[in-house]
Amino acid sequence: MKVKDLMELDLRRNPLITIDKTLDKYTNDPIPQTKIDKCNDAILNTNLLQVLAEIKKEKITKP
Amino acid sequence: MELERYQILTSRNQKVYEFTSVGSKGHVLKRITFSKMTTTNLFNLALGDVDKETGKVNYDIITNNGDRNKILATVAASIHTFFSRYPDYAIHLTGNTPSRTRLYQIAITTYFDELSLDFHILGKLKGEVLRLQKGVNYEAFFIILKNN
Repeated sequence: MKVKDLMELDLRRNPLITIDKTLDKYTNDPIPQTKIDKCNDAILNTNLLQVLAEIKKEKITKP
Repeated sequence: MELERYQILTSRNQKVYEFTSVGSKGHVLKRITFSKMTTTNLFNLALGDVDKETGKVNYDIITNNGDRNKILATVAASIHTFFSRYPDYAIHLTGNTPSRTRLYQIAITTYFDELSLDFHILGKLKGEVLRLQKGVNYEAFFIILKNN
């Protein structure tokens, strides 16, 4: 991208998202167990997968 | 969303994002991590503050830095970027505590009309997952990219 193009961007509202490979090492950092438990509960004990399948079907069939 | 956002850094796989919140409490490094759940096409979104000394993320802290809307707009931008790489996945979003979940609820409700242009938003309530409706308090949220 040229400097002229950069100057025309509204970076305050639409920031550039920059790739920083030093963040790669955090990809598999643990998250709180409560979040995992809540997520698994939704998968196992609700109609989540059914709803996701319905939405996926909508996405496929929508022209 | 036409709100101001912070400049964002992301990992090469676009699962980790960092930005610096600037407000009344100073500069606070924030990290957003999208973690893949093992059993399905679902990622969990976790947002927390990076401890300067340990480098670890505190997911429980409430910073009150006075820039909530800018942070939420930044998180929304990270979700857009994440979906550009992983369009067929869903995102799970919930707080560690009911008050934190309530904060997410306020954010989603506030920007519901704009978010709905790009995303399907679902809420979990009493063992059921439903399309989100304003005025209802949910236990967790799911975000799916629309086929625009």
